[in-house]
Amino acid sequence: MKLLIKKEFFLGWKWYNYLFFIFPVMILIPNYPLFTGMIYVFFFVTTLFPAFLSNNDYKFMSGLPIRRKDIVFSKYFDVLLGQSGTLILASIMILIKVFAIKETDIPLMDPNFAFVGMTLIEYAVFNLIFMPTYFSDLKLSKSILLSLLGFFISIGILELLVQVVPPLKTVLDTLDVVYIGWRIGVLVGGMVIYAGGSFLAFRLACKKFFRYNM
Amino acid sequence: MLKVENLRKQYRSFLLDGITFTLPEGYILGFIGQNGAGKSTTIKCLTGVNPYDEGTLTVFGKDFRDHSLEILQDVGFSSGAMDCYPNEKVEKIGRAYGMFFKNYDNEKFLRLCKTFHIDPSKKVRELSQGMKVKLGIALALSHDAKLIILDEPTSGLDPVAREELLDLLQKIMEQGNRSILFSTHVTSDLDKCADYILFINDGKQILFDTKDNIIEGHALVRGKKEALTGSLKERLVGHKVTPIGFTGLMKRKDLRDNDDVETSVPTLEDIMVYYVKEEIVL
Repeated sequence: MKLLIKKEFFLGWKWYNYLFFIFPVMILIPNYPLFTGMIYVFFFVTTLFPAFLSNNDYKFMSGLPIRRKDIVFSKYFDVLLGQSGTLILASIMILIKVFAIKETDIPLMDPNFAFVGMTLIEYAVFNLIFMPTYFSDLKLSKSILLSLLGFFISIGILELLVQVVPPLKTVLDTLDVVYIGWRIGVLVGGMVIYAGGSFLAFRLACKKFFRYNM
Repeated sequence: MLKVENLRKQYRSFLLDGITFTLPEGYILGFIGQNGAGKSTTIKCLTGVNPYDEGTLTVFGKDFRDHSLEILQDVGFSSGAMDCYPNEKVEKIGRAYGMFFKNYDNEKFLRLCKTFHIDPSKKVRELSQGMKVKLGIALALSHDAKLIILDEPTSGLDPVAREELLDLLQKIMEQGNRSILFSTHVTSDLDKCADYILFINDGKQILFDTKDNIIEGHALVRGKKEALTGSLKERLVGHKVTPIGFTGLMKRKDLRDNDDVETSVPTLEDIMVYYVKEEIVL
C-alpha cells in the first residue's frame, strides 16, 4: 500500500495538482460565502483522475504484485489528501479572517467550528457517492457528476437548516463564545461522520472494484 | 512451474470454462485462439488482474489465491506494448516499476535497455511499437521473473520486429530456469519458438499438448467430393468443400486405411482454422 502511494506521487501527481490546495485562500475574499473555498478540491479530482486513465495507470498496475484494495486505497488517498489539505488551509484562513481581518458581515455560515464540521459532513457525502461509483466502472464523469450533486445538495440542506431554523442560527451561525460548545459538538460530529462515512465509502469501493474486470 | 485446472470465469456475455494445462520449467507455451476466444481473459486470471470464479491455479507449487503477492514477485507480466505514462522517461518507468519487486535490479534494467537498443532517457511515447514491447520484457526480466507472461506481444509489430522479438524469447530461455507463456492469434509466431500449444476457441479449451504432438497427431486430408461420405465427414474435425473436391482436418488416430483421401502434414494454421470453422462450403 505504501509503495502504491509512493508511486502516486512519483508518477501521478504533477505540479499543477498541488495548486488546487491554494484555493481555500478565497475564504479571505470579503463577503464571500465560505463554502466556495472548500469546493475546489473536486476540480483537483477532475484533473488527477482522468490522467490515471490517459496514462494507462491501471494497466501499469496490472503487472504489479499488489492487491485490489490497495489500488482503491491509493486512489482514495489522493482524494482524502486533497480534502485534508483543503481543510487545514481553510482553517488557517478562517483564523486569519476571524482574528486578523475581523470581518463581521459574512454571507451564510460564519467561519467557525460548526462550519468546519459541516464541511466534513459534506465531504463524507461526496466520498460515499464518488468512491463506489468510480470503482464500479472506473468512469469519472458519472461518479463526479453524482458526487458533486450530492455534495452541493448537502451544502444547500445544511446551510438552509442553519439559516431558517432560529435555534440553529443562534448557536451555529455566530462567533459568540457562549455557544462554542454547540459548535465544537458539530465539529466533533462532523469528524465522526467523515471518518465513518469515508471508511464505509472505502469498503463499498473495494467491493465494487473486486467485481470490476480490468 | 504453472498448473491450471478447470479455470472458469463468467462475464455477462462470455464464459471461459474448463481451461486445464501445465507449463513445466524451461519451456515456452504458445497460447493461441482467434480474436475474442478468451486468451486475454485467461491471462488476466493467471496474473491476478481479474479474479477467476472457479478452478485451481498453482504457480511455483503454491496456490495462487493464497499466495498471490508472493507468487507475483517472480512473475513478469506484459500486455502488448508498454505504453503507460507516455510522457515519462524510460528510466523513470523502470524505477517506478522496480519499487514493487524485491529482486529488482536497476542496473540490470539499464543493461537490458542497452541490449534492446532502448534509450532510457527517451520518453515512452518516443519509442516504436516494437521497442515498447521490448520495454515490457526488459521490466519483467529486471526483477528476475521465473515466469514471464506476455499477452499478444507481437500484435502490431512489423515482420522484422516480430522476428526479433521471437528470437529474443528464445534467447531468454537459453538463460535457463524460466518459462514463458505468450498469447497470439498468429500461428507463425508459434511455429518458431513454442514448445507447448494451448488452443482455445469461444472460451473453451480445444487442444493442449506439445507442438510436435499436435501437428503429428493431425492430418490434412484431401479428396474428391464423392469420397466425402457420412462416415468420413463424422471423423473430420473440420472440412472445406470446393466445386472439385474437399480438404479437411482429421486426427491421425481416426484415419482408416480405406479412406479415399490423400494426407499431408498440417500447419498450426490449418489446425486452428479447421477447428474453428467446422464446415466451409465454397
